[in-house]
Amino acid sequence: MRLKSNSDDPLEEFPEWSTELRNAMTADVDPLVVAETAQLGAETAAAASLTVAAGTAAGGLTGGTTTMTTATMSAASAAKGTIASTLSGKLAAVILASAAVTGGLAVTGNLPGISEPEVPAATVTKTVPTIVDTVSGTVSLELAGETLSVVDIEPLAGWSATVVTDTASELTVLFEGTEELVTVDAIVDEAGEIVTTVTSSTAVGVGGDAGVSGASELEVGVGTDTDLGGNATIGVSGDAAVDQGVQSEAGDVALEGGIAVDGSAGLVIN
Amino acid sequence: MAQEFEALIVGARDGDERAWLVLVSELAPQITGYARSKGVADAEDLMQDVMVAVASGLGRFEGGWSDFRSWVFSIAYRRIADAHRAAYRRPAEAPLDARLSSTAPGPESLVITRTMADATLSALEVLNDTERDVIVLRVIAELDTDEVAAVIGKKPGTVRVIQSRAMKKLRKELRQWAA
Repeated sequence: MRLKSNSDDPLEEFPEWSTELRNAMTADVDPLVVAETAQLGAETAAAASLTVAAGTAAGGLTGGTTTMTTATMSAASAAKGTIASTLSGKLAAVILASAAVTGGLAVTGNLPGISEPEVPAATVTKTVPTIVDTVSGTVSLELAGETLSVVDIEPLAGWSATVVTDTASELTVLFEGTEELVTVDAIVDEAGEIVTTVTSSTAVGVGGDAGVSGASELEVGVGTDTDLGGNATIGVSGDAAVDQGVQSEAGDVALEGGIAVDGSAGLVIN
Repeated sequence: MAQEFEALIVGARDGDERAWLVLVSELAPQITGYARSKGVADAEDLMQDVMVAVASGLGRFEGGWSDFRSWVFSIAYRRIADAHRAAYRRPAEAPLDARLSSTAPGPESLVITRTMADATLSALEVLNDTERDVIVLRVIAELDTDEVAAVIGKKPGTVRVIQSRAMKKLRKELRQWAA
């Protein structure tokens, strides 16, 4: 596989994996489901359009979405031509198959009423952000409906920030300094308010690439029951070990010298 | 392109089934793929829900193709979150691997089980939920970072930070995948 420089863009850096993932995940969507969905969409849109039209006529409202100007009528006409020309033979066959299966396509303007499901608006109104100010930087949070989200993170110089938990109701942001960790936890309480907690601790034995000093390379003794892929390089600082490249093909693997490998999660010095 | 899209949307608003066939044919694989990659059991069913929601709200939509895709995937994002919340209410949900290789698979999970075998999808297991959303929306839905930001309700800069962190994790996995 071609590997490019670290661009932070998966499409550029791992093009073959990206293509394979996309092809694998998007393959085999049933053509009948596509046709059925198109029919459902058309019926629903027509019903929604009729609802607006009826409301406009009954209430004398202005600004309804069904009013067509000359320009939009022209566009609609062009759309039908464009759409017809872009439909492949396969899709046309799907339409015919769908018609055969379902007993006919929708007839616009003669549709049963359809209850409108909840749809997020195209533009979402959000609440005023909550800003958590710490010695390590600031975290801006907001609550949109019932969903808690991070708006912005601004670590101060010498600090880096990572979002370690991000769910609709709980967020954790970890600030990593050279000698200190600051954790900002935010939850949504029962009253629907954002509640934040800031805790700090000393940075020892940080996983990943952070907080490793005085690293030395160790050759790891591999027991007969283990199967490590590649060479193991372990950076050690005091009593803490940081995994930078040990992978286990088995599940939990015990190594000689009091080191345990837990899957691919890292190493722990016993 | 902009005129074609406008014409397509006008047709879709009017209930033109051919317009809907174009829209669904374009978006259904990506929405279904997004849902599959997030472990949704019935991804095609979720895709249908999303497109019906789009149909209901299309009268209120304003914007171009990029805005439209962001809007559609924001609906998908919320529907997937709802599906996960519903799943969490059920006891002892199995991890993604187990769900995908269920012993009683439907046709769709059979497809996914096959793809799991080559570890393409399993590389995503190292990512947390938000990181996976960003990467999957970039790769499968082919959205740019600004569009992803609109979908998941974060600033573009925050999305780039999340993507950078996710890529750092993925590099280890994908270099092994490539080996």
